[in-house]
Amino acid sequence: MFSGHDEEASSFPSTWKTEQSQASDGTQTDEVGTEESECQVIEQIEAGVQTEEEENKSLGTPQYDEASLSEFLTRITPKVLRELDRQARSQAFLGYGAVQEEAASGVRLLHTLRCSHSDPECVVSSVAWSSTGSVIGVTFGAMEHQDWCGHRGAIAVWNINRSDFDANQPERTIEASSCVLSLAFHPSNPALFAAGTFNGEILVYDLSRTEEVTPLALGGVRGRDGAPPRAHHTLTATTTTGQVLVWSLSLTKQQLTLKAGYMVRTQDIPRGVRTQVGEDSGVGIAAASYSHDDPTLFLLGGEGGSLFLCSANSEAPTVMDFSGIGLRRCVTSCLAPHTGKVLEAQFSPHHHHALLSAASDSQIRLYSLLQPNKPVTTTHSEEQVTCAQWSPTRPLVFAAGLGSGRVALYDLDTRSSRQPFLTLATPEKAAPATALCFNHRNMSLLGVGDALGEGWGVAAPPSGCLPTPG
Amino acid sequence: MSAEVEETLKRIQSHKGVVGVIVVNSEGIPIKSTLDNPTTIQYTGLISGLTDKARSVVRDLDPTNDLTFLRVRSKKHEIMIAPDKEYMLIVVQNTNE
Repeated sequence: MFSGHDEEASSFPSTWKTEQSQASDGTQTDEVGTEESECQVIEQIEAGVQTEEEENKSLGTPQYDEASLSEFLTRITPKVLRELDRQARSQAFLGYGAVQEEAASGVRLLHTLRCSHSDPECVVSSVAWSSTGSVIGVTFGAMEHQDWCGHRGAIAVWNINRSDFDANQPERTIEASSCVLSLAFHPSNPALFAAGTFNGEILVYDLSRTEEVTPLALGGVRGRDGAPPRAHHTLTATTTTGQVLVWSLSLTKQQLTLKAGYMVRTQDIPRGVRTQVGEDSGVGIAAASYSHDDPTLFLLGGEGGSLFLCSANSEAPTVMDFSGIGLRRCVTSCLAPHTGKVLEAQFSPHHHHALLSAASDSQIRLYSLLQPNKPVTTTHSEEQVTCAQWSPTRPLVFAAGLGSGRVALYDLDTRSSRQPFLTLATPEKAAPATALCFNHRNMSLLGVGDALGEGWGVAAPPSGCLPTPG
Repeated sequence: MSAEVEETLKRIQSHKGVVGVIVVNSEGIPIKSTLDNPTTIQYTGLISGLTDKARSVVRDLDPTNDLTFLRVRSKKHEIMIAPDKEYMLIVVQNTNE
């Protein structure tokens, strides 16, 4: 069953390796060519021009009759010589200065008013002209108060048209117990003015009589008043506690009677910018102005930068009261707020929709009542703006006091309204301008107060106060 | 004769404050002048027109009247004009400051 078996090995050729072969081949690319080219345009123009030589036209020697000329001259010479002598001796034009039409030298510093006021911390806090334009009132008060006021404020009054006018000696100086912060003259009676003090007093003075003071205590810390232009016996004061108080002034009884009171509260500020605390507390009011057309409409500027349009017709009550009179809400709408303390908020004297505001964020804005959400134009000042006022004569011109002590006049009409068209010079020592006021009677006069406690009067050039032709 | 004319002009010219003297004939052409040429021509042209105008004003107001003297006062000068039938004498004088 089993048998020996011898198996022979079988072989088969490999299929996966083949013999490698070599072959040589050649290839060549095209020759690499380089090329250089240059280009240059040469253009030359020559032009020659020559004018014709101007002939010196000589009239020649005109012929004339020697005899008649001689006769004429002998006849006329004595008369001419007599006139020449008379002209040389004449004093007809002595001291006569012709009116200059060009305004280049129009700006002059007329007076630098100094008051022997010793409190060095006091600056000029406000400047105002009387209704006749001849009396300038300057108030003195400190800029900052960390605690109670220990300064001695003062009111100084000059009459610049008097013959015994002395810039270093006020006609009348009235000492106050604390800083005087604001001043307003009566719109028609030039002798009557009101001042607000840091203590919250409203002082009413009558310059025509012996000194009469009607002090009146106010709840606020800062009294700031603005006499409305229409109602001649109404005095309005705003306070840093948000109150707007309206008094009627009786000259015969010499007393102030509180007529109405309004309150601006934190909740009147638009929701986006107000703080959530103390919604019933008052908003500090730093600037106020009445509309020139509508005596019930007024504008308030807040210490936080808000601008409120207010109506005196509002009847909505608040929980607050002042001296027995319930304070009413007055805010009807808000304008786009500033980001710094409002220094000036003013209705235009020429256009009832135009408002000017200046704030410590160095912006001067023009608002339109028809577009309250956005200022019409914003002027950014490179220097700190301290005060601003509309020109009483030119509708688009306003003046702004700057931190360097200069006063810049802007014209919104020109394309370069971002740049002042005129800058009034600083007196010798530069100090920030703190207050300015145009004279509404003699409209080329501008009163400026500075931080050294000096007031200066400037005659503005005609271009700043007169309408430009066309 | 001519020396006499020159002499007279020199006398006026040497007067205090006098800048120049011009004599113009009836056609408006300057015949004697102590000023330079362009100034003389400018003065003559402008002042002739002014004098004609002034003379017509005087004559229109009163036909029997006539202009004898015209003085123009400016900040710098006083120009004195003596018009006559045949000639016109212009004297420019500095104003006394």
